[in-house]
Amino acid sequence: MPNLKEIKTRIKSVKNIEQITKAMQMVAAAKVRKVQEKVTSFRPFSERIEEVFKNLSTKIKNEDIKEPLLEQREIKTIGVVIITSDKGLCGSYNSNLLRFANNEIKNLESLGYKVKIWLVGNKSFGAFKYTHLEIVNKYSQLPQIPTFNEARMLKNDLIEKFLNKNIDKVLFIYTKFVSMMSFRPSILELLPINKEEKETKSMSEYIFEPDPQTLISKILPEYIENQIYRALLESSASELASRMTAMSAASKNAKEMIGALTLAYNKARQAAITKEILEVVGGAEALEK
Amino acid sequence: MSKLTLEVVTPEGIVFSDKVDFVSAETNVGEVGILPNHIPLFASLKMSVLSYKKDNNLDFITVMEGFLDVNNNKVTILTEIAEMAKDIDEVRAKRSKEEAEAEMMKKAGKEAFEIAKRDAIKANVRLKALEMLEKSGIYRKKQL
Repeated sequence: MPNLKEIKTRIKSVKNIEQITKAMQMVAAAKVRKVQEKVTSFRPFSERIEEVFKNLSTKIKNEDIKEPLLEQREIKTIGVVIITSDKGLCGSYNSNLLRFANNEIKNLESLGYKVKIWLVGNKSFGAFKYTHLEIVNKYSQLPQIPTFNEARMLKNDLIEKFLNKNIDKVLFIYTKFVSMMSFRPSILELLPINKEEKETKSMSEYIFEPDPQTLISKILPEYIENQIYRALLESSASELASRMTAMSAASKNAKEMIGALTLAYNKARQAAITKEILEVVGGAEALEK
Repeated sequence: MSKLTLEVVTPEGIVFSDKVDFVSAETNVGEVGILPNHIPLFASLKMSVLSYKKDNNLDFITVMEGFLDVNNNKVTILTEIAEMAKDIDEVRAKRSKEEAEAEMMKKAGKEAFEIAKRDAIKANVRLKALEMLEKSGIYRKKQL
Protein backbone atom coordinates (compact mmCIF):
# COMPACT_ATOMS: atom_id res chain seq x y z
CA MET A 1 0.00 0.00 0.00
CA PRO A 2 1.35 3.44 -0.93
CA ASN A 3 2.66 5.42 1.93
CA LEU A 4 0.44 8.34 2.95
CA LYS A 5 3.32 10.67 3.55
CA GLU A 6 4.91 9.81 0.24
CA ILE A 7 1.77 10.72 -1.66
CA LYS A 8 1.45 13.92 0.25
CA THR A 9 4.94 15.08 -0.67
CA ARG A 10 4.31 14.18 -4.29
CA ILE A 11 1.12 16.22 -4.35
CA LYS A 12 3.03 19.10 -2.88
CA SER A 13 5.79 18.95 -5.48
CA VAL A 14 3.35 18.67 -8.36
CA LYS A 15 1.52 21.67 -6.99
CA ASN A 16 4.79 23.57 -7.00
CA ILE A 17 5.40 22.62 -10.60
CA GLU A 18 1.93 23.74 -11.53
CA GLN A 19 2.56 27.10 -9.95
CA ILE A 20 5.76 27.54 -11.91
CA THR A 21 4.30 26.50 -15.24
CA LYS A 22 1.32 28.76 -14.67
CA ALA A 23 3.56 31.71 -13.92
CA MET A 24 5.66 31.01 -17.02
CA GLN A 25 2.54 30.76 -19.11
CA MET A 26 1.37 34.14 -17.91
CA VAL A 27 4.74 35.77 -18.46
CA ALA A 28 4.91 34.36 -21.97
CA ALA A 29 1.36 35.53 -22.67
CA ALA A 30 2.18 39.07 -21.59
CA LYS A 31 5.37 39.14 -23.62
CA VAL A 32 3.82 37.65 -26.70
CA ARG A 33 1.29 40.44 -26.67
CA LYS A 34 4.09 42.99 -26.58
CA VAL A 35 5.92 41.35 -29.44
CA GLN A 36 2.75 41.18 -31.46
CA GLU A 37 2.22 44.87 -30.92
CA LYS A 38 5.73 45.45 -32.18
CA VAL A 39 5.07 43.31 -35.21
CA THR A 40 1.95 45.25 -36.06
CA SER A 41 3.52 48.65 -35.56
CA PHE A 42 6.56 47.62 -37.56
CA ARG A 43 4.63 46.21 -40.48
CA PRO A 44 3.86 49.52 -42.26
CA PHE A 45 7.50 50.54 -42.20
CA SER A 46 8.64 47.18 -43.40
CA GLU A 47 6.10 47.09 -46.21
CA ARG A 48 6.88 50.62 -47.30
CA ILE A 49 10.61 50.11 -47.36
CA GLU A 50 10.21 46.97 -49.38
CA GLU A 51 7.93 48.74 -51.80
CA VAL A 52 10.29 51.67 -52.15
CA PHE A 53 13.25 49.40 -52.58
CA LYS A 54 11.56 47.35 -55.27
CA ASN A 55 10.50 50.49 -57.04
CA LEU A 56 13.98 51.79 -56.90
CA SER A 57 15.64 48.61 -58.03
CA THR A 58 13.43 48.30 -61.09
CA LYS A 59 14.11 51.87 -61.95
CA ILE A 60 17.83 51.62 -61.70
CA LYS A 61 18.02 48.33 -63.50
CA ASN A 62 19.03 49.92 -66.73
CA GLU A 63 21.60 52.11 -65.16
CA ASP A 64 25.06 50.98 -64.45
CA ILE A 65 25.30 50.63 -60.72
CA LYS A 66 28.23 49.19 -58.92
CA GLU A 67 26.99 48.14 -55.57
CA PRO A 68 28.88 45.27 -53.97
CA LEU A 69 25.80 44.10 -52.10
CA LEU A 70 23.92 43.61 -55.33
CA GLU A 71 26.73 41.82 -57.04
CA GLN A 72 25.90 38.31 -58.16
CA ARG A 73 28.96 36.15 -57.91
CA GLU A 74 29.54 32.45 -58.09
CA ILE A 75 28.33 30.84 -54.91
CA LYS A 76 30.77 28.61 -53.10
CA THR A 77 30.30 29.30 -49.42
CA ILE A 78 26.97 29.86 -47.80
CA GLY A 79 26.55 31.52 -44.43
CA VAL A 80 23.59 30.17 -42.54
CA VAL A 81 22.18 32.07 -39.59
CA ILE A 82 20.21 29.87 -37.22
CA ILE A 83 17.87 31.58 -34.81
CA THR A 84 16.82 29.65 -31.71
CA SER A 85 15.90 30.69 -28.21
CA ASP A 86 18.13 31.05 -25.17
CA LYS A 87 15.86 29.10 -22.88
CA GLY A 88 14.03 25.85 -23.19
CA LEU A 89 10.58 24.89 -21.96
CA CYS A 90 8.93 26.07 -25.10
CA GLY A 91 7.59 22.89 -26.60
CA SER A 92 9.02 21.72 -29.87
CA TYR A 93 10.06 25.19 -30.97
CA ASN A 94 13.81 24.58 -30.87
CA SER A 95 13.85 20.95 -31.88
CA ASN A 96 11.69 21.64 -34.92
CA LEU A 97 13.92 24.45 -36.03
CA LEU A 98 17.12 22.51 -35.45
CA ARG A 99 15.84 19.51 -37.35
CA PHE A 100 14.86 21.76 -40.22
CA ALA A 101 18.23 23.51 -40.14
CA ASN A 102 20.12 20.22 -40.14
CA ASN A 103 18.20 18.99 -43.16
CA GLU A 104 18.77 22.21 -45.01
CA ILE A 105 22.48 22.23 -44.28
CA LYS A 106 22.81 18.62 -45.40
CA ASN A 107 20.98 19.55 -48.54
CA LEU A 108 23.26 22.44 -49.28
CA GLU A 109 26.33 20.35 -48.61
CA SER A 110 25.16 17.61 -50.89
CA LEU A 111 24.88 20.25 -53.59
CA GLY A 112 28.55 20.95 -53.08
CA TYR A 113 28.42 24.20 -51.14
CA LYS A 114 30.53 24.94 -48.14
CA VAL A 115 28.47 25.97 -45.15
CA LYS A 116 29.47 28.28 -42.33
CA ILE A 117 27.10 28.98 -39.53
CA TRP A 118 26.10 31.80 -37.26
CA LEU A 119 24.24 30.82 -34.15
CA VAL A 120 21.70 32.90 -32.30
CA GLY A 121 20.42 31.61 -28.98
CA ASN A 122 21.93 29.22 -26.45
CA LYS A 123 19.85 26.30 -27.63
CA SER A 124 21.65 26.10 -30.96
CA PHE A 125 25.12 26.09 -29.39
CA GLY A 126 24.84 22.59 -28.02
CA ALA A 127 23.28 21.24 -31.17
CA PHE A 128 26.13 22.37 -33.38
CA LYS A 129 28.99 22.02 -30.96
CA TYR A 130 30.25 18.70 -32.25
CA THR A 131 29.65 19.09 -35.96
CA HIS A 132 32.25 19.68 -38.62
CA LEU A 133 30.61 22.98 -39.51
CA GLU A 134 32.57 26.13 -38.95
CA ILE A 135 30.84 28.36 -36.43
CA VAL A 136 31.67 31.92 -37.34
CA ASN A 137 29.90 33.69 -34.54
CA LYS A 138 27.59 33.05 -31.63
CA TYR A 139 25.03 35.33 -30.12
CA SER A 140 23.18 34.72 -26.92
CA GLN A 141 21.39 36.66 -24.23
CA LEU A 142 19.66 38.82 -26.77
CA PRO A 143 16.67 40.56 -25.26
CA GLN A 144 13.52 38.53 -25.47
CA ILE A 145 11.76 41.31 -27.29
CA PRO A 146 14.20 42.18 -30.03
CA THR A 147 15.14 45.75 -30.86
CA PHE A 148 16.79 47.30 -33.87
CA ASN A 149 20.17 47.15 -32.17
CA GLU A 150 20.42 43.39 -32.47
CA ALA A 151 19.41 43.54 -36.11
CA ARG A 152 22.10 46.14 -36.69
CA MET A 153 24.72 44.07 -34.92
CA LEU A 154 23.94 41.01 -37.04
CA LYS A 155 23.78 43.09 -40.18
CA ASN A 156 27.21 44.62 -39.67
CA ASP A 157 28.73 41.24 -39.00
CA LEU A 158 27.13 39.58 -42.01
CA ILE A 159 27.77 42.39 -44.44
CA GLU A 160 31.40 42.53 -43.45
CA LYS A 161 31.87 38.82 -44.07
CA PHE A 162 29.94 39.06 -47.31
CA LEU A 163 32.02 41.92 -48.63
CA ASN A 164 35.24 40.17 -47.60
CA LYS A 165 34.06 37.31 -49.78
CA ASN A 166 34.16 35.06 -46.79
CA ILE A 167 30.69 33.96 -47.75
CA ASP A 168 28.85 34.37 -51.02
CA LYS A 169 25.33 33.96 -49.81
CA VAL A 170 23.47 34.46 -46.56
CA LEU A 171 20.49 32.40 -45.49
CA PHE A 172 18.42 32.90 -42.40
CA ILE A 173 16.78 29.93 -40.80
CA TYR A 174 14.12 31.21 -38.44
CA THR A 175 10.64 30.36 -37.29
CA LYS A 176 7.86 32.07 -39.13
CA PHE A 177 5.00 33.20 -36.98
CA VAL A 178 1.82 32.11 -38.71
CA SER A 179 -0.60 32.40 -35.84
CA MET A 180 -0.66 31.93 -32.10
CA MET A 181 -1.00 28.21 -32.61
CA SER A 182 1.18 27.59 -35.61
CA PHE A 183 4.77 28.37 -36.45
CA ARG A 184 6.85 27.14 -39.30
CA PRO A 185 10.62 26.91 -39.63
CA SER A 186 11.45 28.93 -42.73
CA ILE A 187 14.29 30.18 -44.84
CA LEU A 188 14.97 33.75 -45.75
CA GLU A 189 17.48 34.62 -48.44
CA LEU A 190 19.16 37.76 -47.26
CA LEU A 191 22.14 38.22 -49.53
CA PRO A 192 22.82 38.64 -52.35
CA ILE A 193 19.75 40.69 -52.98
CA ASN A 194 17.80 39.64 -56.00
CA LYS A 195 17.08 42.47 -58.25
CA GLU A 196 13.47 42.29 -59.26
CA GLU A 197 13.26 40.95 -62.73
CA LYS A 198 9.72 41.83 -63.51
CA GLU A 199 9.27 44.85 -65.67
CA THR A 200 7.07 47.54 -64.24
CA LYS A 201 5.03 49.70 -66.51
CA SER A 202 7.12 52.51 -67.83
CA MET A 203 6.95 55.08 -65.09
CA SER A 204 7.36 58.68 -65.84
CA GLU A 205 10.90 59.63 -65.15
CA TYR A 206 11.83 59.62 -61.53
CA ILE A 207 14.03 62.26 -60.07
CA PHE A 208 16.73 60.98 -57.81
CA GLU A 209 18.29 63.24 -55.31
CA PRO A 210 21.22 62.68 -55.04
CA ASP A 211 22.15 60.17 -57.72
CA PRO A 212 20.73 56.62 -57.75
CA GLN A 213 24.07 55.11 -56.84
CA THR A 214 24.31 56.97 -53.53
CA LEU A 215 20.68 56.34 -52.78
CA ILE A 216 20.80 52.64 -53.34
CA SER A 217 23.86 52.24 -51.16
CA LYS A 218 22.02 54.16 -48.48
CA ILE A 219 18.78 52.28 -48.61
CA LEU A 220 20.31 48.80 -48.95
CA PRO A 221 21.59 48.54 -45.38
CA GLU A 222 18.22 49.76 -44.13
CA TYR A 223 16.50 47.17 -46.22
CA ILE A 224 18.71 44.37 -44.93
CA GLU A 225 18.33 45.51 -41.35
CA ASN A 226 14.62 45.54 -41.81
CA GLN A 227 14.62 41.96 -43.03
CA ILE A 228 16.80 40.76 -40.17
CA TYR A 229 14.67 42.58 -37.65
CA ARG A 230 11.57 40.95 -39.00
CA ALA A 231 13.11 37.49 -38.78
CA LEU A 232 14.13 38.17 -35.19
CA LEU A 233 10.71 39.48 -34.27
CA GLU A 234 8.89 36.56 -35.81
CA SER A 235 11.19 34.06 -34.15
CA SER A 236 10.67 35.66 -30.81
CA ALA A 237 6.92 35.79 -31.25
CA SER A 238 6.92 32.10 -32.20
CA GLU A 239 9.07 31.19 -29.22
CA LEU A 240 6.84 32.99 -26.78
CA ALA A 241 3.64 31.67 -28.26
CA SER A 242 5.09 28.18 -28.28
CA ARG A 243 6.14 28.53 -24.66
CA MET A 244 2.69 29.73 -23.76
CA THR A 245 0.98 26.71 -25.29
CA ALA A 246 3.55 24.32 -23.85
CA MET A 247 3.15 25.79 -20.39
CA SER A 248 -0.60 25.78 -20.49
CA ALA A 249 -0.49 22.09 -21.45
CA ALA A 250 1.94 21.46 -18.61
CA SER A 251 -0.33 23.21 -16.13
CA LYS A 252 -3.24 21.14 -17.32
CA ASN A 253 -1.26 17.93 -16.93
CA ALA A 254 -0.17 18.98 -13.47
CA LYS A 255 -3.78 19.57 -12.52
CA GLU A 256 -4.76 16.14 -13.75
CA MET A 257 -1.89 14.59 -11.86
CA ILE A 258 -2.88 16.37 -8.67
CA GLY A 259 -6.40 15.00 -9.12
CA ALA A 260 -5.15 11.44 -9.55
CA LEU A 261 -2.78 11.76 -6.62
CA THR A 262 -5.44 13.22 -4.35
CA LEU A 263 -7.67 10.30 -5.23
CA ALA A 264 -4.90 7.84 -4.38
CA TYR A 265 -4.22 9.73 -1.19
CA ASN A 266 -7.86 9.57 -0.10
CA LYS A 267 -8.06 5.88 -0.94
CA ALA A 268 -4.95 5.20 1.09
CA ARG A 269 -6.30 7.23 3.99
CA GLN A 270 -9.59 5.36 3.83
CA ALA A 271 -7.75 2.05 3.78
CA ALA A 272 -5.72 3.09 6.79
CA ILE A 273 -8.86 4.05 8.72
CA THR A 274 -10.60 0.80 7.83
CA LYS A 275 -7.58 -1.11 8.94
CA GLU A 276 -7.52 0.70 12.25
CA ILE A 277 -11.23 0.04 12.88
CA LEU A 278 -10.74 -3.62 12.06
CA GLU A 279 -7.91 -3.76 14.51
CA VAL A 280 -10.03 -2.15 17.26
CA VAL A 281 -13.01 -4.43 16.55
CA GLY A 282 -10.74 -7.47 16.44
CA GLY A 283 -9.21 -6.44 19.78
CA ALA A 284 -12.63 -5.94 21.40
CA GLU A 285 -13.84 -9.31 20.16
CA ALA A 286 -10.78 -11.01 21.57
CA LEU A 287 -11.49 -9.45 24.99
CA GLU A 288 -15.12 -10.65 25.02
CA LYS A 289 -14.14 -14.27 24.61
CA MET B 1 -8.08 70.73 -55.89
CA SER B 2 -6.10 67.61 -55.50
CA LYS B 3 -4.24 67.05 -52.29
CA LEU B 4 -1.17 65.21 -51.20
CA THR B 5 -1.24 62.25 -48.90
CA LEU B 6 1.59 62.58 -46.45
CA GLU B 7 2.70 59.56 -44.48
CA VAL B 8 5.54 59.48 -42.01
CA VAL B 9 6.46 55.92 -41.15
CA THR B 10 8.98 54.68 -38.58
CA PRO B 11 9.75 51.19 -37.32
CA GLU B 12 7.68 52.04 -34.25
CA GLY B 13 4.61 52.77 -36.30
CA ILE B 14 2.95 55.45 -38.37
CA VAL B 15 3.64 58.87 -36.90
CA PHE B 16 1.57 60.91 -39.26
CA SER B 17 -0.89 60.18 -42.01
CA ASP B 18 -3.19 62.78 -43.49
CA LYS B 19 -4.10 64.74 -46.57
CA VAL B 20 -2.10 67.96 -46.84
CA ASP B 21 -1.61 70.79 -49.31
CA PHE B 22 2.11 71.27 -49.23
CA VAL B 23 5.20 69.52 -47.91
CA SER B 24 8.65 70.93 -47.50
CA ALA B 25 11.64 68.75 -46.65
CA GLU B 26 15.39 69.05 -46.47
CA THR B 27 17.23 66.52 -48.57
CA ASN B 28 20.93 65.93 -48.71
CA VAL B 29 21.17 68.20 -51.74
CA GLY B 30 18.86 70.94 -50.64
CA GLU B 31 15.37 71.87 -49.68
CA VAL B 32 12.46 70.61 -51.73
CA GLY B 33 8.91 71.88 -51.72
CA ILE B 34 6.26 69.49 -52.88
CA LEU B 35 2.87 70.54 -54.18
CA PRO B 36 0.20 68.24 -55.58
CA ASN B 37 1.01 66.69 -58.95
CA HIS B 38 4.71 66.75 -58.30
CA ILE B 39 6.63 64.39 -60.55
CA PRO B 40 7.98 61.20 -58.95
CA LEU B 41 10.91 61.91 -56.71
CA PHE B 42 13.10 59.83 -54.49
CA ALA B 43 15.53 61.48 -52.14
CA SER B 44 17.40 60.92 -48.93
CA LEU B 45 16.69 63.23 -46.05
CA LYS B 46 18.94 64.99 -43.62
CA MET B 47 18.30 65.19 -39.92
CA SER B 48 15.98 68.10 -40.25
CA VAL B 49 12.57 69.58 -39.76
CA LEU B 50 9.86 68.67 -42.21
CA SER B 51 6.98 71.05 -42.58
CA TYR B 52 3.60 70.68 -44.12
CA LYS B 53 0.65 72.91 -44.72
CA LYS B 54 -2.90 71.87 -44.22
CA ASP B 55 -5.82 74.31 -44.58
CA ASN B 56 -3.37 77.18 -44.28
CA ASN B 57 -1.96 75.87 -41.03
CA LEU B 58 1.68 75.00 -40.86
CA ASP B 59 2.94 72.16 -38.73
CA PHE B 60 6.30 70.55 -38.24
CA ILE B 61 7.75 67.09 -37.86
CA THR B 62 11.33 66.26 -37.05
CA VAL B 63 12.93 63.48 -39.07
CA MET B 64 16.25 61.88 -38.27
CA GLU B 65 17.54 60.99 -41.74
CA GLY B 66 15.60 58.65 -43.93
CA PHE B 67 14.00 58.68 -47.33
CA LEU B 68 11.39 60.63 -49.16
CA ASP B 69 9.33 59.10 -51.88
CA VAL B 70 6.88 61.06 -53.97
CA ASN B 71 4.69 59.16 -56.35
CA ASN B 72 1.13 59.72 -57.53
CA ASN B 73 0.40 62.49 -55.06
CA LYS B 74 1.58 60.31 -52.23
CA VAL B 75 4.47 61.44 -50.09
CA THR B 76 6.03 58.69 -48.01
CA ILE B 77 8.70 59.46 -45.48
CA LEU B 78 10.66 56.52 -44.13
CA THR B 79 12.75 57.38 -41.14
CA GLU B 80 14.06 55.80 -38.00
CA ILE B 81 12.83 58.47 -35.62
CA ALA B 82 10.13 61.06 -36.24
CA GLU B 83 8.30 63.31 -33.84
CA MET B 84 5.51 65.80 -34.19
CA ALA B 85 6.86 69.18 -33.15
CA LYS B 86 4.17 69.62 -30.53
CA ASP B 87 5.26 66.40 -28.81
CA ILE B 88 8.83 67.51 -28.31
CA ASP B 89 10.00 67.96 -24.78
CA GLU B 90 11.89 71.21 -24.80
CA VAL B 91 13.61 70.74 -21.49
CA ARG B 92 14.89 67.37 -22.49
CA ALA B 93 16.09 68.54 -25.87
CA LYS B 94 17.99 71.42 -24.26
CA ARG B 95 19.56 69.14 -21.73
CA SER B 96 20.64 66.57 -24.30
CA LYS B 97 22.11 69.34 -26.39
CA GLU B 98 24.20 70.52 -23.47
CA GLU B 99 25.25 66.99 -22.66
CA ALA B 100 26.21 66.24 -26.23
CA GLU B 101 28.20 69.45 -26.52
CA ALA B 102 30.03 68.70 -23.30
CA GLU B 103 30.80 65.25 -24.66
CA MET B 104 32.21 66.77 -27.82
CA MET B 105 34.61 68.90 -25.80
CA LYS B 106 35.99 65.86 -24.02
CA LYS B 107 38.00 64.66 -27.01
CA ALA B 108 37.35 61.04 -26.20
CA GLY B 109 38.36 59.68 -29.57
CA LYS B 110 36.89 60.08 -32.98
CA GLU B 111 34.05 57.63 -32.63
CA ALA B 112 32.72 59.09 -29.42
CA PHE B 113 32.98 62.52 -30.97
CA GLU B 114 30.91 61.46 -33.95
CA ILE B 115 28.21 60.01 -31.73
CA ALA B 116 28.11 63.14 -29.61
CA LYS B 117 27.97 65.26 -32.71
CA ARG B 118 24.97 63.35 -33.99
CA ASP B 119 23.24 63.74 -30.67
CA ALA B 120 23.92 67.46 -30.73
CA ILE B 121 22.48 67.76 -34.21
CA LYS B 122 19.44 65.77 -33.17
CA ALA B 123 18.82 68.04 -30.21
CA ASN B 124 19.32 71.08 -32.40
CA VAL B 125 16.80 69.84 -34.90
CA ARG B 126 14.27 69.35 -32.13
CA LEU B 127 14.84 72.82 -30.77
CA LYS B 128 14.60 74.26 -34.23
CA ALA B 129 11.26 72.57 -34.77
CA LEU B 130 9.97 74.11 -31.57
CA GLU B 131 11.19 77.51 -32.62
CA MET B 132 9.50 77.20 -35.98
CA LEU B 133 6.34 76.06 -34.33
CA GLU B 134 6.35 79.07 -32.08
CA LYS B 135 6.96 81.45 -34.95
CA SER B 136 4.10 80.00 -36.91
CA GLY B 137 1.83 81.24 -34.16
CA ILE B 138 -0.34 78.20 -33.72
CA TYR B 139 1.39 77.19 -30.60
CA ARG B 140 2.14 78.98 -27.42
CA LYS B 141 5.16 78.04 -25.43
CA LYS B 142 4.37 76.01 -22.40
CA GLN B 143 4.98 77.79 -19.15
CA LEU B 144 8.07 76.20 -17.73
